[in-house]
Amino acid sequence: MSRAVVLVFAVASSGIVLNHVAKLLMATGMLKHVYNHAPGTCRFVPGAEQGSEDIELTSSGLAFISSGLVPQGFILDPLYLSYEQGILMYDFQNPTAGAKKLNIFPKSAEVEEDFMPHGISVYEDDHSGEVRLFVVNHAKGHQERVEIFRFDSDSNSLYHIKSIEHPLLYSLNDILAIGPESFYASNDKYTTGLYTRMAETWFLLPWSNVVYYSGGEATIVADGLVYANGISLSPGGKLVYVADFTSGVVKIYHRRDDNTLLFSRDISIHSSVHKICVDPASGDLWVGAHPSAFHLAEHLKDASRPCGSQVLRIENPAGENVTVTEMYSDDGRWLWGSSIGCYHEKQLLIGTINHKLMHCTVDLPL
Amino acid sequence: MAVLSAVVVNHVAKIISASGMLKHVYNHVPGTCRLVPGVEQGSEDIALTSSGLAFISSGILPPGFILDPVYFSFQQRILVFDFKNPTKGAKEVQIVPQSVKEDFMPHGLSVYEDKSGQVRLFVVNHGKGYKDRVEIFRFDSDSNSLHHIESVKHPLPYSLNDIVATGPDSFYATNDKYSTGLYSKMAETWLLLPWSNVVYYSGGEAIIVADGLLYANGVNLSPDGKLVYVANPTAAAVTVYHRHDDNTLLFSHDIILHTGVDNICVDPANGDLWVGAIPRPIDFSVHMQNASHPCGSQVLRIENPAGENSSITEMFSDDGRAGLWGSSVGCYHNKQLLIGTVNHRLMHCTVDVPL
Repeated sequence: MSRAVVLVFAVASSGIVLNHVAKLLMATGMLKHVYNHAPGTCRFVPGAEQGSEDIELTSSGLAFISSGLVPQGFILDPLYLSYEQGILMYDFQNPTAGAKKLNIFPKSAEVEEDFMPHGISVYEDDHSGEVRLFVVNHAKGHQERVEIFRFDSDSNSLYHIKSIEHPLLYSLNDILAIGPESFYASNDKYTTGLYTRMAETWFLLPWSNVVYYSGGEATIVADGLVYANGISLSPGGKLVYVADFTSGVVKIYHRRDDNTLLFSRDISIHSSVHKICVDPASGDLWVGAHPSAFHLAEHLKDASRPCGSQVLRIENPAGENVTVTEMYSDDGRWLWGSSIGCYHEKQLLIGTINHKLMHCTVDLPL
Repeated sequence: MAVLSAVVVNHVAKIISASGMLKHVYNHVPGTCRLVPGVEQGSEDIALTSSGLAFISSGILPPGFILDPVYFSFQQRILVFDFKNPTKGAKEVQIVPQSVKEDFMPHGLSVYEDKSGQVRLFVVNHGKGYKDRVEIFRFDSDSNSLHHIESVKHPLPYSLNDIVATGPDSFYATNDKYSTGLYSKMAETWLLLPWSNVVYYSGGEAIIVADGLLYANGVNLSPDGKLVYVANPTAAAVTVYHRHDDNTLLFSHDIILHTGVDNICVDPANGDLWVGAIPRPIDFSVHMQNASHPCGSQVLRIENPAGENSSITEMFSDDGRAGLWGSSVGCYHNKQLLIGTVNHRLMHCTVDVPL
């Protein structure tokens, strides 16, 4: 081979490698310095020490919280394997009561013992007032399922209605209920093995997608994401928001009448965005994020290592003048690994992948 | 070759880090913020009296930067803002005699209140022809004027930035660079030459009390007078010194802030440091050359600066959208925060978050 060709090849491949390394550096947040600030008075909520990865609110200010997640695709500290999985409940109107574990009925082996909840979504029926909870379940043996429950407020229990499985629901992360048995869901990776998932991350492979399920059928409605994580709906139901963890953006899609999605744009957050909570009153997005995915990975390997937390608020996400405000930031001095923040009546509830749950007053004007 | 490359790469890495080039700045405020009307030409340093009156230096043309010509039209003034009456805004203070204003480029400020209740204002003045000196004034609140007492000239304060008064005519001051020319100052910055220092002046004599700093900028004193704090933007840290009885300084420790720290305001009630900073100094350099280029602002609060467990909280952060570009100082008083900039506006915020 002539030297010129070798040189061109060497320069081109160095360029590609450097570009990839630069992207990884930015995505991991390794060089970032995280400051500390809170929007008011913050305290840990008792009763939720083993994670609160996703939080969903009912219209009356009741928060469902998925707890005990053992995240797939990461090298994990064995401590996490002893966590108890469950759905917790927190009432904003009764903050001192803390977080309480909900009973799940029926108490069958299938539901109780094969339950690893991840993303959740609330569906409220306008006419009957029924509250349904959709839960991503990483059942044993990589059998991903979506469990649909009915919430009974008198007994503080979840009654199992049905389990949904489909070949297109293979690497679930979050879910967004659209109807009593239909939903959008994010597949965060293409593969399911530990090392293959890590490879997908490190090579920034855009193999993640969003599917729509209804009546036994499922279709891919958004593709080519790097790491589709949280998924939420605008109050009017016309926009779907998807957090892409590795790209550090919230993606906005228009929702067509046939439930397919049309990409609109990205909102850059410059952090590893995790789950999204939509404020029904204003349409603001409240986004839980990890300022440094690198430190998060270290924390997952070693439960005693701190990692940061961050909650951002996005006003006017669909409009011309999107405004992003950092509502909470922590370098690990209090809360480790925030994945979600939900706002309700001058309060902020912040959940983490596998750490504590924090409640803050929001004293700042919004 | 390997050694040389390592040295160069290390240096480049330090510059990249100090410039904030790779930093993303988020936005958040501690309460309701509004720009103080009538202050458009800078508010580089702020010093408070015990009664909540803030003196503000305005109109600085900082030495050592390539400047947008628009800055040359700025008027140099001292302003006053009353925390008890925030809606009244900032007013220009009269300087007596007026001849002082003919050679007046105010930079760092410090208030000295003596037991008789007299309020003195010490002002770093970049006199024409690189003649840095310190002006000492007496404030007369009835007439809202500063009466000139004396000019302190001495060879050792030669590249002044900030000042902190320790007596009726004694002070610590920072020399931010060694040289005085534009290009030589820039070379000192880019080559990260540790030629900046802190001097102590009293009774006609001055001595260097801290040396080998990269860029001594803001300087202030703990409420009990036992500690001296120096902000170093290139090192991205506030250095804490013990103050000996003879006024010499002994290095204690650095508080690393990872940002372009500028001036320090000390809360007399609890000793907290409030530090004005520029999160991305690279944007600031561009802003100096081009006045329409935005630049971020940041105010950090340091609790327990002297102790083992210093706690740093970011009280204000803005990427330029709030219309406050290049904050250099933030002073807290009674649930309010006044934020000054090198050559832009002045902002007043309520502090609604618990401290």
